[in-house]
Amino acid sequence: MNSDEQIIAGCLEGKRKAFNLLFRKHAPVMLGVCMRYCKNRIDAEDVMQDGFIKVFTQISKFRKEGSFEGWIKRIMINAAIDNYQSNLKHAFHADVSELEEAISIGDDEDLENDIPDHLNIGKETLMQMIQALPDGYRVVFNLYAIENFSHKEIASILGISENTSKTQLLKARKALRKKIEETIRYQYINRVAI
Amino acid sequence: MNTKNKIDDLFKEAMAGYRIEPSFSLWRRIERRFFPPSKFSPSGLITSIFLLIIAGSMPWILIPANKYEDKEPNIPAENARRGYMIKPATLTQSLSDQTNTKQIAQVFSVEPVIYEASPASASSLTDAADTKDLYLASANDPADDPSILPLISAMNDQKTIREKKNTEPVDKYTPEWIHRMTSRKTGLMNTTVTSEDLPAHRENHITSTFSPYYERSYFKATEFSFGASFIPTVVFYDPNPSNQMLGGEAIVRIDMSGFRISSGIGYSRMQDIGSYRIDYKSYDSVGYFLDVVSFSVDPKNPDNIVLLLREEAIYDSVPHYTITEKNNSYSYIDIPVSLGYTFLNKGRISLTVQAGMKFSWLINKNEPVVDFSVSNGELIGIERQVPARAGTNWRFTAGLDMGYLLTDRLSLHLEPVFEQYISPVYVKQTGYKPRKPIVTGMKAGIFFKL
Repeated sequence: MNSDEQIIAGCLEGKRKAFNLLFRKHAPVMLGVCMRYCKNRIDAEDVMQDGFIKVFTQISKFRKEGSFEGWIKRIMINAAIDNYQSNLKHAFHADVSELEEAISIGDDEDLENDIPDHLNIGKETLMQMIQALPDGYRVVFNLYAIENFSHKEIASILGISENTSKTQLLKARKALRKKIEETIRYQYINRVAI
Repeated sequence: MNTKNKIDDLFKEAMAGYRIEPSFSLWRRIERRFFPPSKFSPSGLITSIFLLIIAGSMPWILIPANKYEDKEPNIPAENARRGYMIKPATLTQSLSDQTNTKQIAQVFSVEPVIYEASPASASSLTDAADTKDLYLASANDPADDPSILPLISAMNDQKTIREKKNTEPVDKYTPEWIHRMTSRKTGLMNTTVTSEDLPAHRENHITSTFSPYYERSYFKATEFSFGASFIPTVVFYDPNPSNQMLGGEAIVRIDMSGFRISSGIGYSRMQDIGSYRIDYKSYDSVGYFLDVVSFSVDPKNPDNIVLLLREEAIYDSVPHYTITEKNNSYSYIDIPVSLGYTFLNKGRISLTVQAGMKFSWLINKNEPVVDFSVSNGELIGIERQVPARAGTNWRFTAGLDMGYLLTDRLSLHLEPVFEQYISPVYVKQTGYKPRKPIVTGMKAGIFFKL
């Protein structure tokens, strides 16, 4: 029972072993996905827990039209967005859409002028950079840059305006660029010191 | 269509296929959402409690406390000797009507002792063995010491040893001998409960055998619990024999994503044999002389004078000392703090490794007054042979907590524990080796999740 079809069949029959196999097979990648949407590992595991509960309870709805992993990943992203929106209710947030006109972000093209073509930055470091972003920036950046959603789709999913989505994406890129520059500078200093 | 961007590409490429292994507890939390443990049965609880009590008491039962013979003397090993001591236990006096002489009946007991061999004591023993009136300790094996052998045989046959004498008994004890104290120490512990929580927005209700509380709290990442533990332990005073210690703890615990922080307060009590040297002097017989009661001229041979002699004992004040023991007890307040990680959490069973520190504070000591009861003896002074207990102690603690979930809130725990004293258990005393013993035992407890 190693193929996705067999695992799905086992899950539909309520077999504990199938549940476990599904989890063991997909959990590491899905935790990587959830980590991108959360500040830390603890939050990411909570999100993934919610996601797998949905996977197991809704597995009968999987139409086999796309890949099983893609379907699970979409559920995880939804769980992450649910978690983000749930946290919004408990926190004070300025209405970004009202402020966006007043904020000067600069030309998007300028943001990548100084980025070298080949960077030697580890995946863990890049993950930490994403996690360090403010919640809104992080979610928009993930959806746009990594999941390939359009600003229109993001606006619909998050219940914000397209301009807000664009603004948050630009701010996220700016913040990431700053962190990348700091990392490159740190690596250069270390190399010279050695 | 998204516009291509270097930063986007950099992160998209790096995050593709990014994998992180989830923690052990995550699958358990999900699994128990769909496959909750079977219903709790009272017979299982009774069996579990019984097994925990048995297991927790095993070190207490299997490792005996110090025996007198096993105690290490507080003397250099090269000077330590084993011997036997005859102690006068009771003394009765009566006056004979016919002879008008005092009859003294002395009852003795014989005990093995460890003493320090020194030139003074060796000569004293030799003298004692050669002197009829001195029923003292023997430095030799009984087989090599004819004077003591009958007494040893009588003791082995559980007979009362009696000796009647016509003179005042010589109240001398064995030469220098010291045996060390025994000590008992405490150990403490903590245990753990883990549980799960329910999603805030569940879509399908899965029937659970657990309570509504369990359903509500199923997926909480952080859990608070409290409990109590019973801790029988054994203290190893290397190279000395072991001692037993008994304690209990009340613990508060926080479990968070597999990690655990626990602390609380405990009470422990131990027994410790206190050894005291009693110096005294007594008016003893140091020899005798022949007293001329009367004399007369021999009628058959007038050149001879017949003397009627009588033995008279000579007494003098002789210094002695003896060692006596008292069963002291000490009570401690313990404050343990530990960190742990739950590496196995399956069904009702959980395993957690824990390590931390424990602070002990001596709050009460019961040291009975040393009584002096040697007939004709005058007390010179009493000296403590065993150092006093230190007021505070630090210990390193480690253990493997094995938890068994009885209900959604209640769990039983069994934990083999190891402790290492960081500070000595006794105050510093010249000539006495600092003791930093190790402690092993089994902690048994019950915890309740808040």
